[in-house]
Amino acid sequence: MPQIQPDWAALYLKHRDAMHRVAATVLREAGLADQAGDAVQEAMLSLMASPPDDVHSWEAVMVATARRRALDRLTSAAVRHAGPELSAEHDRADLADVSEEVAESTDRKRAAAVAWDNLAVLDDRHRKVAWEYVALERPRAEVAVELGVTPARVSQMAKRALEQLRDAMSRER
Amino acid sequence: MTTDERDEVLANLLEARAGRGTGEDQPVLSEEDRTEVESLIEVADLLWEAGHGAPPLDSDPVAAMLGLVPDPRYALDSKALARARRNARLKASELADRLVARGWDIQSRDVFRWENQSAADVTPALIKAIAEETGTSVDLLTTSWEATSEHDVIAAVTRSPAFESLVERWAHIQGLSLALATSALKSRMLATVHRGDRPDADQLLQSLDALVTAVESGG
Repeated sequence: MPQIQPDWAALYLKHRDAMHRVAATVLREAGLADQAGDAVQEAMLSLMASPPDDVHSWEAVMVATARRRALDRLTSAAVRHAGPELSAEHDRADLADVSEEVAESTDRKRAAAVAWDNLAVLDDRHRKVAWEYVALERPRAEVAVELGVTPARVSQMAKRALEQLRDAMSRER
Repeated sequence: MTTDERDEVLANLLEARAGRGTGEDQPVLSEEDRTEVESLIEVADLLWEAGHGAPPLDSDPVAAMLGLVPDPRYALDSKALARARRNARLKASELADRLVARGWDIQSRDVFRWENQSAADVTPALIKAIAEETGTSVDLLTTSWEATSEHDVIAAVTRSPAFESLVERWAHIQGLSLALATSALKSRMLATVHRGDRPDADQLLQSLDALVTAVESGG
């Protein structure tokens, strides 16, 4: 009897944000966050090519697969630049508890959403600095030109924005 | 440690996070200042994560590959959906439940809307799921909006006796000539179509009738 394929489109629609976020976070340390989409695509292709059996949580499987494909990319980059030192870390990651990965990812996603929601407490200029300079990591000089201030002033505004966000978030807890 | 030095450490760390600068050779912070800077960097990291979720669906190649971007060449046909659901002996709520079981975030009211108002936002992947759950084929559930242009639909409406009647009522209550009333109601239809809805001729006439009736009642 042929195996019934999961509805990949529905699953991806539901979990794609978590997959991209975890892949970007893993790749960020090597300055490769812009490869998160590639890691997610590789994760989906590998899942579709050989769907796992007896899945209790698709979120767990999809997030863990995206994380591992991102780690594969880190490993490849490390091998290209400095030899295979990251292999051991990758192996350990493969053995990590999947449910723990997902719980952590879910907590971070929730906290990130709270941070995003609280951008509303900032005025327009500080919100622009928080989003474009801190969240999207656009060059400070570019944001400074758009706001008509110095780069140093952008740093001051970023600090003020982060303080306001931290205080607003702590009031919600 | 001065406030200026602490601010400098934070500014350098923010630059280093983006790969600009190393964040090394920083002034040594007191325990209190280090805690303060770490708490701000934690907020910065959460903001970064908020900014690095999935891209919009229409620029996500995986979403496109999986059929999660609406395609005017494969739009869900409202009447065909209602027919397929009835043939499968499913209530709207039962079809919604089946789609939910597959992982779709669908409610009964979505099914009602697809059948009675607009189904333009239903993606090819969801149409495929509906076809499988109602035991029909995707081809029987879809229509091509590219083949039926909006102007063909509007032309069909304006030729209808029902539209003429609506124009006469609109001209009467607004004190307009028939030509101006015709133009006003046609503009109204174009605005509806261009807003992203894909109504058919019957739906456009119903919408206009509701508008005229509402203004008549208010007058």
